[in-house]
Amino acid sequence: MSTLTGLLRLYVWHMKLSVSRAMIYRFDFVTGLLVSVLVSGIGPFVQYLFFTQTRGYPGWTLSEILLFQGLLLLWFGIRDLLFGDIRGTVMNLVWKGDFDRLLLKPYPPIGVILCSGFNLGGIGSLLAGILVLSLAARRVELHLSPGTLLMLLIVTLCGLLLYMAISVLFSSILIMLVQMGRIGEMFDRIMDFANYPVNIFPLFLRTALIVGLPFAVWTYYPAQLLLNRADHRIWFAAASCLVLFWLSLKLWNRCLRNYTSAGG
Amino acid sequence: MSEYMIEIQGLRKTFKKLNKKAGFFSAFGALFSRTSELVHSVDGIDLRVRKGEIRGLIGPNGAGKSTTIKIMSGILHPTEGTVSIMGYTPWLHREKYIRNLGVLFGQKSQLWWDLPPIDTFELNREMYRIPTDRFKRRLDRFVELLQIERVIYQPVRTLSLGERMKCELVCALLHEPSLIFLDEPTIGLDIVSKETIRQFIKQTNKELQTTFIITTHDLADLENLCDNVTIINKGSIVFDDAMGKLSTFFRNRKIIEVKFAEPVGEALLDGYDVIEFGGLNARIEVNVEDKDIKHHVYDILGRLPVVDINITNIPIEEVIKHIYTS
Repeated sequence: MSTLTGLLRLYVWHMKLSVSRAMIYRFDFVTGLLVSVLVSGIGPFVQYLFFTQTRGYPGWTLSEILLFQGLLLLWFGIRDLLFGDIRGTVMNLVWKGDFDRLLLKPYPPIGVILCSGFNLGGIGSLLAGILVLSLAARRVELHLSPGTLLMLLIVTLCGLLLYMAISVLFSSILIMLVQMGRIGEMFDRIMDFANYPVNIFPLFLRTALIVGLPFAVWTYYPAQLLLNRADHRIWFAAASCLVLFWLSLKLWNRCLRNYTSAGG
Repeated sequence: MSEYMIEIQGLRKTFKKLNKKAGFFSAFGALFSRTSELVHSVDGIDLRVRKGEIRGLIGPNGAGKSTTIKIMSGILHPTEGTVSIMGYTPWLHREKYIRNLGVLFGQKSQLWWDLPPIDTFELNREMYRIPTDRFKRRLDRFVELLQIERVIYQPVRTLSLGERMKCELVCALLHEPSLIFLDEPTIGLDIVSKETIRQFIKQTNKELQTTFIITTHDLADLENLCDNVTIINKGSIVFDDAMGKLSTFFRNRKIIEVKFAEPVGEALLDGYDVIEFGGLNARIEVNVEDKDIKHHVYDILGRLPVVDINITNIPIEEVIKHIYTS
């Protein structure tokens, strides 16, 4: 327990230092923020074109898709803000042979890695997400009971756990292989499945996205909860997130044992 | 409780090393089949270090020093052997053990590059849960000893190598560890910075009884700091004794340095092993096993116009070179 609270405090410290660093390069930060908001806006626009120029997504109205897009951007914002720097940090550490430094901290190294993920750049997607979500809220009647809010909180926490599990998996592979440019890309392409409502996919993919790799917790289920149409499989998805996180930690410990470090 | 802070027995670490041949086709062929060999980076090391000791750990490049330090730090798991440091097995009790350990890798930085060192110090305060008043007291002391009052508020990227190294030392010592590993702490520094750092290490060792393990290629570090020295070569310990023993390593060999009143011919020194000759001076190595030093000195004084004569042991540098290559 004390390790967990220690790590949370460490996360806050990393966050403060990361903000201080971003403020040193103010021009880069401001332009990055503007570009991020603009680029984030392209996603909903493309979806709008796609929806209006084709038969759209079965079972989804344009306003509901707008809600989905708002939640997707919001998720990207939260994800990048909290853990956006993880991949870059780990790649940098392993590539330069500096990973040893993490093993000299009085915390589990994977905890330190997850604590170093804060990236202020994620604020662009977060703002864009809030904007699109508030637009969607005017067009769709949202179901906002205390039960729904509680479920939203649970699903968001599970989503964060799932993303942490993927980051741990990525880090485990990286400390073994050192160089893995295209594998990172593969991770991204697989995660792209989360950018669409799960129920538009064939049954086996739908099952995989709810139980196997439950990306559905990131955007699909939050949208379904707000539209009051979430099904019982949400619990399978939540449980799956916990199992995947546990498995990723097991794999990490195994890889760490075989870590060979870099030359002296 | 054992009088030793570090006790290592039969330590071995074997790595699987891939063999790569030169050339494009060989590189392409490595996609399908690779050959590898087992390399014994550490090959049966036994080591004991007392509390409060400053121990030099030296050896040629690739001797196994860094691997030994990494196993002692808990970074690597050994293939074989036991390590007990302050009662901990580093790789098993890593998190608790690390709280009592400070590590400085001279060629790697733990400072945040864009921010002033004070921010990294504060992060370390949080990480090691150092009470604020103690942190402040220690920092003030270190800042005074290392003369870095202004430096700690400037971004790291604007600091000189010496200033950065002093700040790295502060990072390694802020939590007052009982044991500190310093890997080439004076690498690339000017004479003044080297001296400041050496004084700081001595002072800390004296005041807090901190044990230091120093790996270095700078003999002045050894001569100025270390009580004992361990030399590792090809994964094994080849010398493990007091620093003083290094200078008397070749007991039967001495160096005689002579200055002459007038230029002499080198032929007059025939029969001696002349290392250096300049007409007005000479440096001769003599073997004192068969004939004692008095015999050699009387012979030189009797035959040559000597104005000054000096007898010394074989320089430590030579001794170490001999040990490395033997």
